Amino acid sequence: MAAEMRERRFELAAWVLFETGKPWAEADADVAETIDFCMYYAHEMKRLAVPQQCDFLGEENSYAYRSRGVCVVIARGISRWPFWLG
Amino acid sequence: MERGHRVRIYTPFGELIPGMAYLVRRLLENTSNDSFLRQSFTEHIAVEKLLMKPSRHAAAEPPIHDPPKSGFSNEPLTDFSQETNRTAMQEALALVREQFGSEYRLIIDGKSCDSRATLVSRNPSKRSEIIGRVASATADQASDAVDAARRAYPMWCATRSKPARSIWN
Repeated sequence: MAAEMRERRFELAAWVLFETGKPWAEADADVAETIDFCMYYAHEMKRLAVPQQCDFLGEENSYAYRSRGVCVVIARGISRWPFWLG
Repeated sequence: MERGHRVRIYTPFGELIPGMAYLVRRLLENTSNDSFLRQSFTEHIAVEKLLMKPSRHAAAEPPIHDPPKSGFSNEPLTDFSQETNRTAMQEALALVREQFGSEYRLIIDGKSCDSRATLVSRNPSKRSEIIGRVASATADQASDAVDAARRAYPMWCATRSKPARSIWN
């Protein structure tokens, strides 16, 4: 997804520009930030896919993440609405 | 004034709320990192540099190339002082303009479907310009979408993290 966004970066920035009235630099920054989201969460998933060790002296502890199910994101009201692309 | 300096008296005039909004905006602008006022007054950057044509910045300061870091690093911003980037952006704007007014249907459970209501997206800088018309889902359709997500959940749950991550990359 991030690779596709990089390919079509200017096109995506153009859509952001027209929909939100942002100037070139801001629209471009929005696309960059969206790419960052994709890359960052992919990276984090790699880290969190294995059990996390948190040992104390005399103890061996680890915790792991499990998926909870479907979640709905209400993007407009709650998160930053100007971040249209996200 | 007694010291021979000119004094400017700045008197707000008009309605309170827009006036306050204006003053807050001035405050934000004047303290912004990009503000000329701040850069010249606090950081003592020369006027010639502040007023330099952006395309000349490319010649003045060669682009910084950071060595590639392992793990996550931020996507660099486009340098619009480069002419190739400006051209690419102009072309993209023209390409997108050609698609104005298109209709966008809902996609639920992989299938394209219609909705009676539409949301019209207009260019905020030119309200008469319609960017596109997006189908506006009903509560039932939203419910269908959640059901489809629930049905897909076991498959997604079972997908090992590597192929799942590759979708994001």
